[in-house]
Amino acid sequence: MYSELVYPYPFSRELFRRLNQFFSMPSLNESEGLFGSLSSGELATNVWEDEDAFYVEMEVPGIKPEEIDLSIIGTELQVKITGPHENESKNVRYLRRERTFGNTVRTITLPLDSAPKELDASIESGVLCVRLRKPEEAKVQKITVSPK
Amino acid sequence: MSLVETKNNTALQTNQESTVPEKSFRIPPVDISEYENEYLIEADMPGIKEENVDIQFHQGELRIRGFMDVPDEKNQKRIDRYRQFEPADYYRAFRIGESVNAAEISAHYGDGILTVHLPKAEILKPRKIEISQK
Repeated sequence: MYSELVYPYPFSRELFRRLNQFFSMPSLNESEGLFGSLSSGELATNVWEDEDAFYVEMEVPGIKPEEIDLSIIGTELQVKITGPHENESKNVRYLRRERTFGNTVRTITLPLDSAPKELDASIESGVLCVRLRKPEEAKVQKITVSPK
Repeated sequence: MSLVETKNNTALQTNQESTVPEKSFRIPPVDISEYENEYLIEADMPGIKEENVDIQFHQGELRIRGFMDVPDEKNQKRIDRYRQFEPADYYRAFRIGESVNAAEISAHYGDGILTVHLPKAEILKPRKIEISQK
């Protein structure tokens, strides 16, 4: 039916990731300290913070809000996903299968001493965004230097 | 399963045209399935808006692109702790044989998945042939 066009460039980070995934090698980017490796079936996740909160962004294409279960266990955020579900139609023949199916549990440990204060979450265009407000003691306290 | 379906088509080809995005892009994972009357391409392209999806069919080549909005850079106090994906455009192209009715290709985007319907050309659709009595 088709053949896929292959291009020698650009050598993107995504291509690195997919190559590493294929050969089950640790990510080359890990040496930079910031970029994590992604094992097969794992949902790509970014974690960042600002003064007030931690933010977790996870790629969950095809997942409905009701298929996601978020819970805070101590200082860990646990994301349980039931799906996406495979097409079980008998009238289908797959020519190529690269997408990931099945249930997933992912636990993200937050660098906190106590549980986050509040959690709110939303999904937009297949990306789950979770905001975890920091407890007061975890926020940076600013001290003003007053002149004598 | 072979990565390249060779039954009805030629081997891998390299595009010599200048339509390949020049900046870094992500290659979305796809499922390609065949039904009685159509082929279906489903591509995981999370994080983009429907209006930023661009699908072109030109001279037997299907190109799918998704343009990622530049993230808000106003938050200067953002500190990255862990990164496994980058906000980059998506791009992937397929050489489609004559087994598809190109005029009837349709697509929709929802929940981060792009679905492209490629109806089979009439010649490939199963036809029941009645046996007439003499």
